Parts: sequence; C-alpha cells; structure tokens
Amino acid sequence: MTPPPEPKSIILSIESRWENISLVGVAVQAVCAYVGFSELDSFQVQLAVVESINNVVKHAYGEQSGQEAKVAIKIFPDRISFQILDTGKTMESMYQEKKEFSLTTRANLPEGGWGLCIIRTIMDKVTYETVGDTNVLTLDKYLPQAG
Amino acid sequence: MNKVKSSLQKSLHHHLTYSLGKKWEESDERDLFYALALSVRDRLVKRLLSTEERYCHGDSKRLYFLSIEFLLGRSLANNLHNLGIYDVCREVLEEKGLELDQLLEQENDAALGNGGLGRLAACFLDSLATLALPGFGYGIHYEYGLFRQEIDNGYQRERPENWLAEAGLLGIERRDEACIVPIYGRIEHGLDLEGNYNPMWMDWHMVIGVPHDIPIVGYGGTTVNYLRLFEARPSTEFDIQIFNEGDYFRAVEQKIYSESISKILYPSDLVEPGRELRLLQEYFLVACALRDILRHFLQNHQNFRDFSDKVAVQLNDTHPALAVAELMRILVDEYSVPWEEAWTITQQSLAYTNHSILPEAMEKWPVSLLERLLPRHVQIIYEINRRFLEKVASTWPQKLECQDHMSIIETGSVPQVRMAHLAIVGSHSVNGVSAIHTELLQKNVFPDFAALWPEKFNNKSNGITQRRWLLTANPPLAGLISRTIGDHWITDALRLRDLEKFADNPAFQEEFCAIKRVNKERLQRIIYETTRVETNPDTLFDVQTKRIHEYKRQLLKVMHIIHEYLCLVEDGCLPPVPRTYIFAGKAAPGYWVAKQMIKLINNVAQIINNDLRTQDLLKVVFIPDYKVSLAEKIIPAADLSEQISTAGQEASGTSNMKFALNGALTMGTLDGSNIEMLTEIGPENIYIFGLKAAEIAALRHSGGYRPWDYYEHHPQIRRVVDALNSNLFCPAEHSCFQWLFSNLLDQGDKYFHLADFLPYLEAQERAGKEFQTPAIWTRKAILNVARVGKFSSDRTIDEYARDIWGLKPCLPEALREGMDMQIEGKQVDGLLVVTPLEKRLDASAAADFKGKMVDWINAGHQRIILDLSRVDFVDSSGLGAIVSCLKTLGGNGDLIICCVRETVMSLFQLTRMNRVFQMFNSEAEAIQAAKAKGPA
Repeated sequence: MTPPPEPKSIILSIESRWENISLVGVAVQAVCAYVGFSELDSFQVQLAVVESINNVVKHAYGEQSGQEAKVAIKIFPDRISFQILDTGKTMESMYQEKKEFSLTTRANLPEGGWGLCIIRTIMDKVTYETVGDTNVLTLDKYLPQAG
Repeated sequence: MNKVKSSLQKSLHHHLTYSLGKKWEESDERDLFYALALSVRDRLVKRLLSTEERYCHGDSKRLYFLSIEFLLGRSLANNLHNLGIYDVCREVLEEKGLELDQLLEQENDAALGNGGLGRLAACFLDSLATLALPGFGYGIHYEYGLFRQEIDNGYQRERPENWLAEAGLLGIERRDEACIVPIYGRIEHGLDLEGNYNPMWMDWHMVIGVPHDIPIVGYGGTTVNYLRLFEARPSTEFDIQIFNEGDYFRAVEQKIYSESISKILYPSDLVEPGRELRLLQEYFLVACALRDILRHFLQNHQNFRDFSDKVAVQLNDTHPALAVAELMRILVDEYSVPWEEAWTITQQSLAYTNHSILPEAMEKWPVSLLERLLPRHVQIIYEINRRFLEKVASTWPQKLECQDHMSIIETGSVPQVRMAHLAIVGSHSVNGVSAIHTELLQKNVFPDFAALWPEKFNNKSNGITQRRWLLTANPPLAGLISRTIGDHWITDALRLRDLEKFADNPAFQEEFCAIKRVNKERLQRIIYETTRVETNPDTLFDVQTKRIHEYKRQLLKVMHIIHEYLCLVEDGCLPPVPRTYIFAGKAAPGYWVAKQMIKLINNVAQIINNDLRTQDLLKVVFIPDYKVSLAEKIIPAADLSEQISTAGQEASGTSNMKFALNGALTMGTLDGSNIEMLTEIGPENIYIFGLKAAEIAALRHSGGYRPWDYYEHHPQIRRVVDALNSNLFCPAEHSCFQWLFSNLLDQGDKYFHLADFLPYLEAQERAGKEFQTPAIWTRKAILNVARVGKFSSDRTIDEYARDIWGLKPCLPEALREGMDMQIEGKQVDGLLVVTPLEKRLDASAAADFKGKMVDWINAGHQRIILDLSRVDFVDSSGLGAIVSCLKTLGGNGDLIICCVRETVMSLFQLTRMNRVFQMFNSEAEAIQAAKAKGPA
C-alpha cells in the first residue's frame, strides 16, 4: 500500500504586532480561494484565523511585540487545517469555556469576547493543546467538495 | 535582486528591438539611453496607475500646484534612485561594457523654467511624491524652454533649446482629456428669465489644451504622481469653419497663433509689460488646469459643496492669479452657483505664494489688454474689487487712501490689474518663502492686507530635495554619509545631524576631503572642455552660480576679484589662498545690465588668466549655459558659496542650501534664507557680512547713502572703481565698462556695492585664512552638511500640507503601519455620514476608528450613519468598536449601518449584532430611516 502523499503546506510567521495580522488574513483568504471555498466561506475562515491570532497577540503574549506567531496551513484531500502556534502563556482554560451573550439593553451589549464563538461556529473542528513551550490551536475545515 | 536585474535586462532588449528597431550590437549610447529611459518609463507608468487607483479609492483630497515654470532638469538618474534600481541598472550595463554615468549624460535638461521659482516647483514635486501626498504639478508644455547660452567674445548669445525633441517620447500625451479654452470675443449684456443681469461671452475663439503627463516618482517607488503640462493646439472645428468661409490663409494664421501660446518660455525677470502672448500663456494655464480639476472633481461629486474639502490649488506666484477670476466665472456662469457661494469656494480652495518683493516683479496687466483677451474676466474682476473695496471701506471708513492702496485695479492714465492683489483677495492663505521675506511682505509690501486679514499671512521657508541635490548629484558623498550614519537621511534630512559627531574624526575628514577633491577634478575637466581654461583643484573653488541680476551682485564678486588682482600686481601682496573664481548663470535676453555683467566677468577672466603674474594664484572662469545638470556638477565641487545679494532683496534663495548640503561654506549677507541658515548652521560655520535689510531700508528712506563718500575716503574702493572706469579690462573695446562708474557713483549705487565692499573683503580674508587649515575648514564643511537638514523640501511640503492644503498622505494599505486610519465624515441633511476608507476594520484599526467616532459624538453628533461600503473585512475587535460607539451615544442617539457587504454581514449574523443595529442596503435608505425618527 502506498503511503498517502504529503499534504501541500505553507507556514506563515509574523512578529506579534497588530498591524501584521492583516497580512496573515489576506494570505489565508487567498489560500481558501485557491482550494475552492466561496467568497463567503473564505471570508469566514479568514475571520476565524484572524480571531485566533488576535487571541495569541492579546492573551498569550499580552500585547508584547517582538514575539513570533506562526500559522501552518496544510491542505489534505478532504480538509484544510490551520495550526496557530505561539510560545506565550497557555490559553487552555479560555478555550474550554462557553459564553452566553445578553442582548437585552444597549448598556449591557458586549464589546468583545466573540472570538471563540466565531471560531467554533465557522470551523468544523477546534482543538487546543500545549506541547512543551508551544501552544497549538488546530482548526480544521472540510473542503467544499468533501463537505 | 536577480529578478529585478533580469527584468531590466529584458526591458532594455525589448525597447531596443521593438521601440527603436535596433540590435544590441548595432546600438550606440543614444539608443541605449532611450531604451533605458523607456524601460524606466514602463515602471513609472505602472505605478502611476496604481497610485491613481489608490487616490480614487480613498477619494483623497488633491493638491494642484499651478506654476508657469517647472525646472526639472534631467530625470533619469533621479528616477533610477527613487525606484531603487540605480545600482542594478549600473550592473546590467557594466556587464555589457557600458557606463551608466555616461549614458545619463545623453539626457537633455527639461529647462521649463528660469531659476529659483521653477526649480522650487520641481523640488516640491519630488517631496510630494516621496511623502505619498496626492499633489500634482500643472504647467505649460513649452516647445522651447529656456534658451541655450553661448559666449561669443564675452557676450551672451541666446540659442533656441528644443527639449521636446527627446522628452516628447517619455511623457504621456492624453488627447482624450484635452480641454477647450475660449479667448477673445465680446460680452452681450442681457437679462435672464427673472430679470437679473445675465452677460454672455460671445464670439470667442477656441484653443485646445492637450495634457502631457510626466511621471514623478517618490523615493521608494510607492507613489508616482505626475506633472501635467498643457500644449496649445488649434481647434480643428474652428479651422473648418474658416475654411468653409474660404479664407485659407486666415485659417492657417489662426492655427499658428493658437500653437504659439505654448511655444516658448519667457524669461521671468523681464517680461515686458503688455506682452499679449505672455498674458495668454498665464490664462491658458489657468483655464486648462481649472477645467481639468473640475472635470475630475465632478466625476465623483454631484455639487460643489465639498469642493474645497477635495481640492486645494496653490498659485506659485501671481502668474496663475487669473485662477481667481476663472474659477468664479466657471462656477457662476457655467454652473449657476450663486456669487457668494462661489466666492467662498474660490477663497477656500486657492492659496497664493509670493516669491518676490522687488517692485518690478509685481505683475500688472493693462485693463485694456485684458478686456480684449478676456472680456468676461474683466467684468468679474471689477465685481470682486467692488465687493472687496466695500469691505475695506466698512473696516476703515476714515482711511480713504486704503481703498486706493488696496484696490485690485490701479487707476491712472493706463488702468491696470494688480495681480498680487487679485491673488491675495481671492485666496485663504498668502505665504512668503523665508522668515525675513514673510516679515517684509507683512510690514512693507502688503501692510494693509496684513492688517485686514492677519490670519491669511504665513511663512513657509523654502527647501530643496536632498534626493536630487545630494543622492543623485553627489553619489560619493551620499555613499559616505549612508555608510557612516545609515540612509535614513534620504527621507528624513534631519538625520544628517548624526554626522556632527564625525566632524572632527580624522578618518571621516579624510574621506570627506577626498570626495571633494574628486568632485573638483571632475569640474576641472568640465571647465577645460567648455572654456579651455586650466584650473587647479588644490585652489579654493569660490563659486557664484545663479541668474545674473543686479540685486544678486555678481558685480560685488567681480570687484573682490579685481581687488585681489590689483593687490597682487600693483602691491605685490599675495592672496591668503590661491583661488579659482567660478561663475555661471544666464541673463534675461532683454536685460542689458545683466548681459554687460557677463561681458565684464569674461573680460576680467581674460585679463587675469592671461597675466603670468597670477599663475596658480588667481583664475576666473565663466562656465557657459548654466542649467540644472551643470549645477549638479558645480555644486559638489564648491568650497565657498557666494550668496551676497543686497539685504532685503532675495526672497529666499535655494542654491545656498544646495551648496551647504554638499559641504561648501556660505559667504553671505543677512538676506533671504541665509538668515535661517545662520541660525541652523551656527555663526562660526558661515561667513556673514554687510548691511542688514533694516539698515538698507533706513538709508534708502533717509537718502543718507552717499557712494561718493566711500569712493573718496577708501583707497581700496577707489582703486577698484577706477579700474572699472579705465580700459584695463577692455583694452580692445575702450570705455566698455565706464557705465559702471556712473552707475556706482552718480546713479547712487542702488544695490549698495560700495557700502558692503570693505566688510566683504574682510569676510573673504577670514575665509581665505581658514581654508589654509584643512582640519578646521573640513570640520565646518561637515557641520554645514549635518545642520542643513531643516532646508529639505520635505519639511516645507509637510508644512504646506498641514497648514494650507489640509492634505494627508495616501499610502497603500500594507505600508500604513502606525498611521492614522483614513475615515471620512460628511454632513447630509443634519446627519453625520461616516465612511471608513480603509478596507479592514480590525484589531489594528479599531482603537483609531473608535477614537474618531467618539470625537464626533462628543462634538454633538447624535445621529450617525456608518457606511461600510469600502470595508471588506471586520473582525470582533472592529465589531466591538462599533458597538462601543453605539453605547457611547447613550439612549438618545442612533448609529445606523448601511452598505454592508455580504461577507461582513455574516459576522454581524454570527454574533447576532444584526439584531442590535438597524442596517440598510443603501445610504439613501439609511438617511431616510434616520430622518423618519424626527429630530435627534
């Protein structure tokens, strides 16, 4: 039996600064379009990845610049997989929690905290683990023809 | 790098083959120059298009810089530097056995200007593009630029210079954007349907203005603006009409006349009054420019309400001052905008720079001439003046004389239009070009206007672009500086200050001197090639290069030379240091005194250079045909820079800055920008002498200046003046310079040569002595380079953009790091419509967005429509900022969102925020919904 072919892959790496995140965003959007996602799906996958890196910059690195955040993208026959890697504080507990938002009055409206909910809604599989010094968030999304 | 290189190689081959029809092995330097120029043009045009797209996407405010002159000089080397491909290009050519520098010499100067004013305009274009500002030059596409100067028996001869022969290839002709300009004709007085006076401009002739765009690339290559030059062409329709009438000759005459409008550049400092063609040129520029500006504006805007938010027009001196009347005419006559509204729009969009306080430079045009050319404009100017004088009368009811002083129309036997007054009245800003010049403008030249509108007057000290005057003109020095302190100085000239610490460093000094020596050797060769005079680069190169004009006092320099010469040959006194005196400059063809000055310099040179007693001690040269490309070779080789105008006469002067940037020390009076240079560079590093402007003004006022006293009491002065009066310097042309004797003594020495002569000698003596100690001199030279950073045109343009134009940089999104978010707010029917102009509203933009929104809310805006049509990505941070704004509005306000893309809408849906906000597909629906809620 022949082993499955190595998936196509690319690694994007940025310094932990807000301005850099858009560069990953547009690259992810382009990769999504390349593998056949619709404009809407490409936007949403980009959104999920951007939200994940926002979390890295904000929570794992506490908005400190000079750190590295990496996104490894692999394209499997059935799915596209994003691994977001950082070496900051673990966000294990954050990725466990479930939030409910109240939309009752204007004064109570949330001004953030949607990131996780967005990621979980958009992606088909979300796992978070810490291996040694490295935190790894894995986001999988089935490709259009496989879905 | 390799990719850039191979792409350039391909480009060169492509253009040699397909544009020029040559094989590489058969091509000569000229062919290769064209192939290179066309390859660079390709790169510029591509970026020009993307720059334009960026400006359009952001609906950026644009600056239009109207100038009758743009003295660009050569472009190719500058373009290579700014595109960042200079070194690659040199490598590519070296591999073919060619030298880039030699190829660059093939380019002709674009000499569409006379001197300082035109060169300033060119430096400004470079800075605008480098600062990523949407700013465009508008000028005339002269077929013949400034004349080529030849020297014949010491006299200047003018020869035509047809720069277009080659430059035409590199511009972009835009026939599709040609505009029609009416001239001549008559006014038909009539009434409109409501009985209001409704004049009609009838039977006008028609000239076509065809734009040619010259790409202007900023450093780094990100922004490519353009200089739009209009060429006058006859209207074919009109020709046909005359042809049909059977008058073939009249039709051809008409064609020739129309074309003649953009035929030739006039010398700025002596335009004879009443020259109809010059006035036509000024109007042609203004009419073409305004039509073009309005055409562009109306592509994206329905009415003129926000015209001045989107358009700034700078009048570079009074030559384009007819813009005041022309913009009013277009708005009132062609678009039926009420007079008051049109006047507000005109004043808010126009601004005027004054460049000279010399009375003879104040432009005036006879009303009779204007009436014949532009009858409707004269009516409008009279109406502007009537309303203006009403204001003057109500401000100062007791001072009737003010109305006379300030009137746009000068009464008298020949009534004339004062163009400066028209420009001041019609602009929201009036600026001078150096601190002293602005002060004199306010105190002496336009005191009444300054009292009436103190807020209009401001100073913008001139500057030069370090990218042309150091990076391109002096590559060895630029290289040394970059190796020593890094290359940030290329876009931030204040960083040159970092060189201060190396001023005493022996190794740095040594390299600095070696570079000066190389530049002097290059100039030595040029001098020999053009004048056959042998010079010695070990001598002090004492340089005065600029327009020849009495107030710039080339005569004072010549008097100093004669003094040195006579001390040597009559007294046997050696000069403190051997010197080579270098002159270059053109005289206006009709300016007799200036042309005589060239003759005098050449005769003095002839006598001194051929006197064996002066060998190796004194040399005098006049290098013919001064132009930008020659200045780029003279300036880096200068030791001493002569800036010796009569105090109070030179508005700014910019060659002093160019010399200092290249390590020459300044010998100057307290005039123009010398004063600010003194402050920056420090009195110990500059030689200042002579009467101050206020002292000269006082002497003029009291009549207390008596040149005869100087002549009689000072033997040194007497000897020099007598030498001029004698035939010493004109042995074969007796009495040739006697006129100078009477000019200096009997006619009162208008420019104070004799009063300043002895202090000048003393300062020169000091300079000569210090030059003998290289370590001291070099230290001062290095400090000059280090401290001249303030005089970068980047600083000047930054000030104009901030204070006068309200212009913001427009960079591609990827380069906008750390910059303010671009966001537009406009009022529609009492509502605030906010449109973020960025594509992304994400974590890096959220805080800025929120800050701007909160400012608006705090300013009292309670009902806001957020138009997201330009935004294609929002993340939860961006969304959080929008929600936060809604909360800031409190219970009474409203934030309505419209024009959300489907993709972005999915974020609102995922977070259920689509239930919180009112959202509409179009701005109109949003406005309607907001209005339906009643008053906020």
